[in-house]
Amino acid sequence: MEHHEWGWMIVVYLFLGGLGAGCMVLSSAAHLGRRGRYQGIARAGALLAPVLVGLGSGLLIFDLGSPLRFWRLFVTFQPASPMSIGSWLLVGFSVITSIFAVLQLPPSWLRRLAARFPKLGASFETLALWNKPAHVAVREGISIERDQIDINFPHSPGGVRRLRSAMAGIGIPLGIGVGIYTGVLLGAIPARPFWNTPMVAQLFLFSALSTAAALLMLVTPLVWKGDAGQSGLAHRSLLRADLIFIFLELFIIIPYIIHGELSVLSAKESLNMILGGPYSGSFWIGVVLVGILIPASIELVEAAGGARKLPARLTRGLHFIVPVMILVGGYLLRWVFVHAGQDTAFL
Amino acid sequence: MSRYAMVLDRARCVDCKACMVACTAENDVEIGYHRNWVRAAVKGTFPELSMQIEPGQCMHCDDPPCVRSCPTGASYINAAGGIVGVDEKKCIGCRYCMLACPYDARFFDEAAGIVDKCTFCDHRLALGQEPACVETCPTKVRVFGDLDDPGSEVSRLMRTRNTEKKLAHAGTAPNLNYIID
Repeated sequence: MEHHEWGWMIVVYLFLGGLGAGCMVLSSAAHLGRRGRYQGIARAGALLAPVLVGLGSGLLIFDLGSPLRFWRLFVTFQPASPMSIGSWLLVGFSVITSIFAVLQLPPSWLRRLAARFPKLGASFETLALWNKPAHVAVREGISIERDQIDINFPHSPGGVRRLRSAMAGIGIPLGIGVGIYTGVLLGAIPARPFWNTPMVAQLFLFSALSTAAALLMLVTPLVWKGDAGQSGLAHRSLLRADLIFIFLELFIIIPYIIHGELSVLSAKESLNMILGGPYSGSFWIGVVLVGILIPASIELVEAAGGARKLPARLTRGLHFIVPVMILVGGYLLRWVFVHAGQDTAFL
Repeated sequence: MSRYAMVLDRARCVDCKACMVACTAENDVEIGYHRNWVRAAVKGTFPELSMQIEPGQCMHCDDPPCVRSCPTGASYINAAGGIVGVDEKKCIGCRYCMLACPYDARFFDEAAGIVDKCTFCDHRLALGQEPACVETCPTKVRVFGDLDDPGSEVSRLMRTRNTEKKLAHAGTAPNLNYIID
């Protein structure tokens, strides 16, 4: 492997950026759709989105040759540069997701903050009241007390409720935009034939959504102490969402490889990087097997009800291992793409 | 208006690398980096072998992907002459332009934290001098000039000799022309 200009910081950024974008999309969808039922997912995703994208953007800035000059990105707009478009997208994303996250902060955290900072106590207490979610009882995956499910935060004033939902509404296209941008950043470079296909953007977007669903499976139980019915519902819906995204991802990888095999020499040679070259192991075992095929098979069996008879400890183990595998695969996908792309040149 | 271009005769190059030394000295290029190059490839084994020597530098494309990809506007095409440059005050060192360049013509100056490249010695052009690599070449491989001036040596060579552009199918419309006949 020769020297690569873009290294691990860019890989981690692309991973975290996609993850944060996916969290926002899923959180917004959970907030807006079937109000109240998926409040755990909405909260976990809202809290994670700005943190993950913030961390990623920090790495992006730190990777610059002149990090202190990063503000140069924001005194201009270069419509032909995907990086310029992406930088502005990230600013918008950070603002929207931060507002959304504040309006989704758990009341218990806010009360603890109120105790810690008595001067701001009243504000934290007010926010804690606003953010008190509606109690939605869920049994067998069906919410009861149907009259409550139209309003997920009954203690928020109307304006705050509208602001929260507006942030979620903008968050979906913005999150999809950031997810696509992480791929376009690579795909827009004709000099690197491995990247230069229209499919890399979709691949990164669906991988972002799939890894976000996986991360939310892990994090939702930590920030939402619902009853067993509710956490079961959250896990089941994330699992179904992930099945869609993971298969979309697979359906893009397959034509990606076929296209490369049938294409001009540059594309063929660059695909040999993953088909039978330095990145084959990471790609086939890490990305395809560990990140897609094994978790997709387990999720398929579980979604079909095939895992019901398993002992509880094994189920809990699977609910931890499968998301972790998806996350590892998602990271390796970025790693393989960033490095294999830089190993190839236009012939 | 001028349209600066170069015609290079590979057959004249003897791989002495004087152009690289002259460039480094003239432009105070950081040790370990080069704005121009001589790439030599040997084929076969003795006594049946041949050697292909090819000097080069930034192609100063008419449609440069480095300029398009730059997020801060630091990479630009100089309106007078079409020279592709980097504004060192605006460059943030993201290296996106380096990935976008199909010719690998740019390098990252780690100490300065910015990307650097050939300028066609625009500071010398302003004084009516030729680029350092052109002036110093002992075998006169490089001919530099203005395509808008029909009387220039470059224009004459482009009229009379068969030339090719490197990676013309990349669509960047480079302005370095290599004699092939």
